[in-house]
Amino acid sequence: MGRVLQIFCPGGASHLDLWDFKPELEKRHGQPLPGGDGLVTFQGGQGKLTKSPYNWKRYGQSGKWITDAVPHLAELADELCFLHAMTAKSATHGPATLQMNTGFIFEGFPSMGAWVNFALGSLNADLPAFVAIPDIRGLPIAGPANWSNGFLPAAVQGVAFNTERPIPDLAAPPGASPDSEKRVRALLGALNRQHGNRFPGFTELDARAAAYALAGRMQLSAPEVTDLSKETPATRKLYGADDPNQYKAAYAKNCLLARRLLERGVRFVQLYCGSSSSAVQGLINWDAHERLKGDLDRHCPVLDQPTAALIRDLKARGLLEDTLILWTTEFGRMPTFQANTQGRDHNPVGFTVWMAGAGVKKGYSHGATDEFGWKAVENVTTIYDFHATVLHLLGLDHKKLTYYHSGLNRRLTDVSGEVIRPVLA
Amino acid sequence: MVRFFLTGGLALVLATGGQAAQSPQARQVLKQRCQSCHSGTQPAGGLDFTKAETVQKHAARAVKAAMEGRMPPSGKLSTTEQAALKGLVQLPWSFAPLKKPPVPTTPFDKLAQNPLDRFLFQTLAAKGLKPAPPASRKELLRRVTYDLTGLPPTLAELTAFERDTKPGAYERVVDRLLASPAYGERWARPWLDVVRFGESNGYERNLLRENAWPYRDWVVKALNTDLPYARFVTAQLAGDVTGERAATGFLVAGCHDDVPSPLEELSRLQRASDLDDIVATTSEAFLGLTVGCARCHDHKFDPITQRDYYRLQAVFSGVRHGERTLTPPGQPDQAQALLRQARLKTVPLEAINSFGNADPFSPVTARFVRFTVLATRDGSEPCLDELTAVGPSGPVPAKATASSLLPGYPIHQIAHLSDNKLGNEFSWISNERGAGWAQLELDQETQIDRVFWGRDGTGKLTDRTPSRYKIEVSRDGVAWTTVATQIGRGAAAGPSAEQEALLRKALPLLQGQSAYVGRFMEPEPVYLLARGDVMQRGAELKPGALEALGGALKTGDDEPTRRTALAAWLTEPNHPLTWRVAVNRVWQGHFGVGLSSTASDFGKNGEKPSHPELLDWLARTFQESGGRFKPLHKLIVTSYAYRQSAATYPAGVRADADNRLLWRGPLRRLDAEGLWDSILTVSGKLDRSVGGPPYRLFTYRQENIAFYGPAASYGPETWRRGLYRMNVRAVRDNLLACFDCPETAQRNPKRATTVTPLQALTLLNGRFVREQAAFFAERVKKDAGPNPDLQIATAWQYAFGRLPTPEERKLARPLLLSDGLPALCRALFNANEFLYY
Repeated sequence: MGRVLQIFCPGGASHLDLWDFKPELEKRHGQPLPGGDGLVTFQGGQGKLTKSPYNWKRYGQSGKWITDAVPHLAELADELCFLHAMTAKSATHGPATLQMNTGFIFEGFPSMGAWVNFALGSLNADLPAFVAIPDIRGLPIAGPANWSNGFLPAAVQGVAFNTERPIPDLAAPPGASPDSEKRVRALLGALNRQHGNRFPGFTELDARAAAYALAGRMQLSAPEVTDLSKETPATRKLYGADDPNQYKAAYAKNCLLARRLLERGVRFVQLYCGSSSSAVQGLINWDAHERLKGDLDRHCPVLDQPTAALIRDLKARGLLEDTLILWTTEFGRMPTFQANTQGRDHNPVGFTVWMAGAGVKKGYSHGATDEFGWKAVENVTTIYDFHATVLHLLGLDHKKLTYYHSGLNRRLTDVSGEVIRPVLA
Repeated sequence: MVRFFLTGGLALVLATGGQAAQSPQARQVLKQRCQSCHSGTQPAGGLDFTKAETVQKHAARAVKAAMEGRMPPSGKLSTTEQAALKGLVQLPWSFAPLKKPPVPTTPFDKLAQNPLDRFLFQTLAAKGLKPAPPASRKELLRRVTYDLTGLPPTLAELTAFERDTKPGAYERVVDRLLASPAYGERWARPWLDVVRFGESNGYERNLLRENAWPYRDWVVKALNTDLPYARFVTAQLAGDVTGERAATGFLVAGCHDDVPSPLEELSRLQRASDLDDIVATTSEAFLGLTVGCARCHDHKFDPITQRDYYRLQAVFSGVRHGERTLTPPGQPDQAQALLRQARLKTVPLEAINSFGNADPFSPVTARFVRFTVLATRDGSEPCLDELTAVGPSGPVPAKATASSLLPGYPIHQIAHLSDNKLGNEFSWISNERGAGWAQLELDQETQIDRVFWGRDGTGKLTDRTPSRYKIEVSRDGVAWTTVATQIGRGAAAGPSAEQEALLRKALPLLQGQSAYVGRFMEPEPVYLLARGDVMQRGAELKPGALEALGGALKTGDDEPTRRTALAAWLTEPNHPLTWRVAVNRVWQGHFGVGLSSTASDFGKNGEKPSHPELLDWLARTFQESGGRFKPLHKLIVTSYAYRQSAATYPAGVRADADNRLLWRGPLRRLDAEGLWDSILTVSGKLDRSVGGPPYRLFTYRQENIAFYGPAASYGPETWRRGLYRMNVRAVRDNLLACFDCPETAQRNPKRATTVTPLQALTLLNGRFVREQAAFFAERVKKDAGPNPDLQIATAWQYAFGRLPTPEERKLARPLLLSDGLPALCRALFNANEFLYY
């Protein structure tokens, strides 16, 4: 039975400086983008075509071109399956982020994790089936809407915590005996059942009951799962958990937490590398409008080693077989620099995500953007397709996984989506 | 046809005949790319696009032709131009003129309590649904009391309502609740969310704003006095000229970067961010539009240009973050009463401190008390602001004498030792370095058991504090007995939290009150910034509002006229947004979700209302009652829809699980502050004092930047309503955060309602709940006595407003008997019936 680890890099991580090599872009560096006249993709006018400030190199048996901005992940090229022709429906962070996570650009829809939780339930009754691990720098744009249950029963929503903000009030206070706590819960359960009888179909109340039951089991299981002190120095080093770069160390610890959760049967882990704030674009997320190199120099080292370590570690423990890893972001960036800046504007018409692990073809690339890496042109895939594929890999038919809500049988993939068959192993 | 309505000298472009206004971007494209052919005496195709009515009529065709590349012949429009041109036909629903629609007739009209119901019944009928039966009196009273005051009804109120069989009983309840001061406290909270009211600067230093609370108090008062909405808006934008000085806290309630920058670019950016915050908040709060999106580029979805954005910035370019004086110093008597109260709350035998000390001793009968200083901390002449002997019935009146007096300072007098006034201004200083004595002659021989003394009860000065001393008493002034010395004084301690709270109340009375409500100065020029880049200044722009809505503002020469002009524009009776946005927020407050669920986004990205006609009818009705909120609340809570039972049934759930059509009454979870207030109400600990400085649920240390920690303890000073909690950015109490209390760095139009195991953990294990459960238990015990059944009944009545069923009594008994009342009380705090109303 499958598990999912979804890594999310908020802000729009640049495919053109990490994964999507375009010789033509190198060649025509400094020239105008054909068709780019008067084009404003989001923020500003186009400057000239600009090659990546990083160096491209081929990696692994697959000979995948990847830049030296992410050397550790590059070493794993033969494990990864790239989708290079992704497209999003919005050029704006909030809606695009929601689309990647929920399929819709508005708030109020269930996230992918909630759908998976709804369909498959938990592998471990003592931990939440769906955990979101926000970056220590803050929540992503749209906050808890990214792990919301939407209109699905409230019990399937993600529970958010990370290593900096572990679960508070987990321990029963000193002096409270387990038996006494049992009796408190028994009375509470009886009162709530009686109260709930008046409100069938009001799922918030059912979710409360489930949340209390889960809280009780978490009290027993969570201290162990969040205790990273049991990790060997070698493992900590592999992840970079004690790195002098505090953000890298924090993300590494969150990666360790993710592995420990997956290992113990958490069904869906959403792991953020970066947070939200349009006011300080590029500083705490991947939104590199003004200073691409400076921003990526800040973010890539945070992402690279810990993520690579997590994949290696999952593999070493035999967990990669049934864990689907997704590396995601809301959109890509333009092959040009914005006029008068050193950074790239948003690009929802062509960007890269990758998958790895359970059921996914290894060392494979699917789809392509045009010669400059701007528009997806070959084997173009949508977020619907991506979601359909994820569900398929978990043994779920995206057209059959529905929930009746206000007159419609709702789906993660709305009325679209085709499974991307070529990426299946 | 587009027409200009002139009201109060202000033009508001509104379309008539059901047509919406056009986006300025679209007009620009039309001018640049279409009108060269489509104008003049022989316009191409006979279509003159300089004529508004022609454009209106042929807009859809023109856009289609342009999208398909058939027009213009000069070459296909760019993506940007295409997007802009679409503004000819696609304007947000909310830009349509505000009308008062006729009230429909429906099959359920017999049930309608007022016209509002008939709009709702119409959609219900269309969906094959019908209204639910009415709620029970208990359910209804609980609902309406929470809704209008944020607090649960008392037992007496429940009983009175259930017994009041005379007609109009419910209306009388509603009137009583709307008249309660708690009404303003309840409804201030969501407004403070919308306007991102925070009490620290945010950014990396995040220093506290000690004096932001007067704005919060102003909002409460404005609501309680039912200020008409136009005045509510105007005061917040320009209270400095309308005489409501604290109201302008609205302008500067957001984050502010106070780190000065040596770089021109960064300084400009800081200023631009301040203005951006004001523009974005004003637009979202009053217009329900995300104008902030147009900082770097024209709005992607709504007819808001970058030019509009900077014109709005110009409205506020004279506003600066900072404090202004609200009230001059005065009221020393009240201040002194608070200082004395603080002094008398000194914990005995803690380490010597300048703020206040208490030396207890075995009760002794005395006429004289002498405090002899043997040394001072700094070797200087000792200073005491008061010496107070206290007996079983409180402080004993006395006259003071002393060994000597430092000459030449009128503020230092021997008489000040017993004048009941604290602080350096009313103190005594001896004329001997590190020595001297002060003596009280009590008005009559009395039993006393402690002495209070201090150097400066206002907490400011710490020099001249005695470090070694003895306290002696005598009946005749001849034979003295030593009753206390500094020996045995404990570990270092400052004023307690309770004393600090008193001080924070006293000092403004003594010194006058400043408040963080912004400062106003000569407006600086505002330029259109290319891509929002502060270094790329374009044309200078004058103040103005949204051109798509006729954004000309009639400003005068003075800075405040920019803001009053904007207020006048916003509150124009035909403004299509202001009134709809306002009533939608009230609806959201009563039903959990607005008629449009996106309360601060009435643009194209927002949700179209579920009942557009009802929204308009309410907006016009709101205006007709002077823009007063209380009649609007009354209209809503006396409707049939609101008074329905909340019980669910399958047909309703199937058709409309979210209850947007209101086929049943609302059932909502308490929000974070509601939960806090309810727990305190039920435990009997809620301090209902209204207004004033906030309490803190955190520890604070200020160096160059601020450091915050979790509160070390909750105490009486924190047992006030959640509204009075200091709202510090990036610092959240776990209990409140778990229940979706938002971060105040952001504007929050609507609270989330999550359900998580973390909530269960904090309600079961968190310190606040445990402490309050213990108090709740004490209260029950006191009122019910030792009988377990009576205890259970009493606990149920306090928590749920009803008696337990025999079944419940049976369930509760074993827990009560084996684990005690506090465990039972804690279980009740966790119950759905406690959390949902």
